[in-house]
Amino acid sequence: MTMFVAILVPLLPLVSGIILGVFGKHLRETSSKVGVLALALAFICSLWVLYAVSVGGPIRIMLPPFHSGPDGWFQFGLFIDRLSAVMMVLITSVSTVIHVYSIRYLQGDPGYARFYSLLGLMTFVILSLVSSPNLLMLFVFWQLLSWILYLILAFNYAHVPAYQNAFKTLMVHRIGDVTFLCGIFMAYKYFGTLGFNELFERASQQSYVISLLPGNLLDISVVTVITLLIFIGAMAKSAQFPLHVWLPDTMDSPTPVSALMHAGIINAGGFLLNRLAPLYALSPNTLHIVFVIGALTVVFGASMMLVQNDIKKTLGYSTMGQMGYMIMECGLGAFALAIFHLIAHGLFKASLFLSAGNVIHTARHEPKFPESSGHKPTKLPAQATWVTGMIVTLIMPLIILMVAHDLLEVPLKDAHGAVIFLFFSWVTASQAIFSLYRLHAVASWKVASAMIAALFLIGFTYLWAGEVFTHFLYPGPGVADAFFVAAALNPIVFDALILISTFLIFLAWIYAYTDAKGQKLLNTEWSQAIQQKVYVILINRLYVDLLYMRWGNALFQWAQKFGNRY
Amino acid sequence: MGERTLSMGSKIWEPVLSAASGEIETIMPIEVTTILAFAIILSAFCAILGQRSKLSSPILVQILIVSGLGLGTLLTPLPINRYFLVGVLGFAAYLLFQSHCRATTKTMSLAQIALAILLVLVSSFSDHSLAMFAGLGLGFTLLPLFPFHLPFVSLVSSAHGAMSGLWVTVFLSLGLAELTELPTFLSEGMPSAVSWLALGSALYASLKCLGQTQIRPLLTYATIAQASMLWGLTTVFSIFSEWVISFGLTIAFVMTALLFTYHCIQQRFGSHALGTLPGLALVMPRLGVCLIILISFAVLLPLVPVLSGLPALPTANNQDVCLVILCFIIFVVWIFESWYFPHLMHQTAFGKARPDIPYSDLTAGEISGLTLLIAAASYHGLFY
Repeated sequence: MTMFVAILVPLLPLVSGIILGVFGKHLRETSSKVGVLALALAFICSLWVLYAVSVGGPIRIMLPPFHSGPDGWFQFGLFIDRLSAVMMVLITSVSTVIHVYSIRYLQGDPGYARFYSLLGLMTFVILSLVSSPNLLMLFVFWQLLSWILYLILAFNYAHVPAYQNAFKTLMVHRIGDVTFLCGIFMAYKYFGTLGFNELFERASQQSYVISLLPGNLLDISVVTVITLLIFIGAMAKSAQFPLHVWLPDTMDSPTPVSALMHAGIINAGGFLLNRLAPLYALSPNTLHIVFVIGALTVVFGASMMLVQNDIKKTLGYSTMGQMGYMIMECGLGAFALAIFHLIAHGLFKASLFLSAGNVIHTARHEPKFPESSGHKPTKLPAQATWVTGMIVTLIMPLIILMVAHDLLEVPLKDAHGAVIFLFFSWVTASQAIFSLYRLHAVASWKVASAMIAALFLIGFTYLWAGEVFTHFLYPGPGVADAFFVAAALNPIVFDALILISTFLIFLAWIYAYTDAKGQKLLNTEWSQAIQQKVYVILINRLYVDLLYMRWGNALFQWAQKFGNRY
Repeated sequence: MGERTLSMGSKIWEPVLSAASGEIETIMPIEVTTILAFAIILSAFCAILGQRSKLSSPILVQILIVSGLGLGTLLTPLPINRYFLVGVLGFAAYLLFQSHCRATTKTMSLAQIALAILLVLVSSFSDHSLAMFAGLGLGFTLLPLFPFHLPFVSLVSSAHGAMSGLWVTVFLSLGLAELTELPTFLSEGMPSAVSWLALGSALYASLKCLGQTQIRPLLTYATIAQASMLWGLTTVFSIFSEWVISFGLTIAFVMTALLFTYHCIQQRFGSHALGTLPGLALVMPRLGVCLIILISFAVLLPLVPVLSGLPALPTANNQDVCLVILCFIIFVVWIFESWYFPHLMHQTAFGKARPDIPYSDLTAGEISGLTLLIAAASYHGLFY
């Protein structure tokens, strides 16, 4: 029975997608009912599967061999462990909500049935991706996801920016797809299998080295090469710097698509790293690179978010920053925490996107000439602002760290849990307080107290839930700890990270305080010039888009000359 | 023909696991030539379905001649099939001679066809190793690879009506038939040389695609890029198995169908360059659906050999150079095709339609032809 229910989870959206694709014109407005019904049933089935997997262990359903390879590994089927089951519940729940939301959102659109068909097919592809039993099937659905995402982003195909941005997305994803494929080639060539468990086992037993320069001058482990190549694939899907350029530009698609993308598709990178966690644990060098890329994405994503003046783009950059956290967590060996994070973020961001339309709609109904605040004297931040800021950004993370370690027995001080937590707390709290500082909102002690209490509660809940979830996802004794050990940074680097972060927070606060008080301690002309330059760089998205566009145009022009000449 | 184990009437090689040795050996259960001949018949049938013009009788004659000669090459025994192959090449030379290509291109293409005819004769009447080299050269011409690609490009670009699609299928089918005779030679003789050539060809064809403003040359060079990937894959996946045929035929069907689709547009609105007729999906929904399906197929084409060919990848620690080159070939072909295929769709199917043109959607005959080609491509690419 469970097997049958498990098959129904990806099958229902597929059937719905096909039915709507073929008979959509005849069904018209009824299309939504078919889609919603299929997804609601799939959601119920996924809950059943999650329960069954939690109680009875992983489910493996293999279809007849697609090709009888030497080891018989090359099979399509379903492999549902706790990780897959959790992802299935997340995907089907978000997709169901999006299906329901789209009933009214797209009413009257000529592409109504097409939209539901594509939505169903996309849900099927994501569900199949997370339940793949081997790397090859995962890759096939990874590819299909890139293409279906392109088609759904170009849903309004008569609208030029929509398909141009869809094209941009496709190009970036394809770069990741090709490197992913190269990683698969390498994995199969050296270890002779792409089945997950077999691959992990063989990779841990056999160590191969590749010489990048003649004379064994630059040797590199095969596992490191494979994991790095696959990681580039994850970077593209999860919008990691410098492959993030597609994400903020996909806002021309319908809002439900943005919601599904930010809640589901973008998590594919984090899922991939989790699925291959035992392989990544064999290569500490890759994990360190993963950490650095994640940290860079957090910093750049959060910084660029601050200078946006468009709600949806702000949300897009916020997603980029959160994906950076997720990847950073993987780089520190906290794989389960990354999944916990992506679930929390997915639900949160989907709700934000779905309500973004309302906010924009309300804003449009404001008086035509809103009251100008330009001539009013600027209200200086109150004492409450400074105290709240200091507590939230500096003291609170450290208190939670100590209390959680001793009272809740969350081993944050061991390995690098502290780095994740402190980094996360500092950056998030700094962002929050910065936004409030700009709005001069924390002027009341009541508001400040409520904010501090809420943040304490969230911090503790996050830590407790994260710890419980880690034991749920990796129940084997020592499995999660082994990942932490593999990702362990050099103690000097670890201490330096903490010190630098603390120093930067202090510096930022001194600067903000002296600036507000009109003192010139740091507020010299050159610092203002730097501030302006940084603002210009950030609003121009670090010029990465421009760079890619120039390269693309140069290549295109050169190709045209080449084509005409030869 | 001495030790040549497979002739034109031979069967496809399929890897099976030997119980005794644990190594992969080959059996020959399926008639490769029957599959290839079927491909030519299907393409010819679809080309006939696609002709609407009253002036199409000369084109119908061409279709019948080319498909007849192609079938003769595939279905007759040695050495008669060689004469048929000379016939195909001779007829191609005749059509090229009458075409309005640039003089330099025409001369070079004719010279290459003359060389190909010479290679056919050499492969028929010489000893084993020389015949293999001749076969390889012939393979490069028929399964087009830079710098042997000119006859293919000139023929497909200058063909009248639906002949362009048929030429693609005929060339690729005959090229695949040639390739079935070279597996050992490819894997043991000169894999790295072929790999480098395939990489150069992939790069050249992909760059040419980017620079095209006309649809037909774009699709022609796209076919060469895909064929380059096929050649690159044959050097790494040393065991020549059914995936080569399935991949080759999938390329042929998809490209033929795309050429056929654009031929339908051309029949209605005359020859047009990229970007002059956008928004067709809005005003010609059947055409739009076909185009989206076909371009989706074209973009995902590289998955076909990965799915069917990966089990044949040797896991022994050799041929590293070829594997690295293959990775580059795949990189070049995939990245560039992700650019030009969607670009092709943007310029024709997407965007706003021009209001000054009377649009008429695909007819039942055209839809049937396209459906057949898509079904054949799906069968070979996904199921077979």
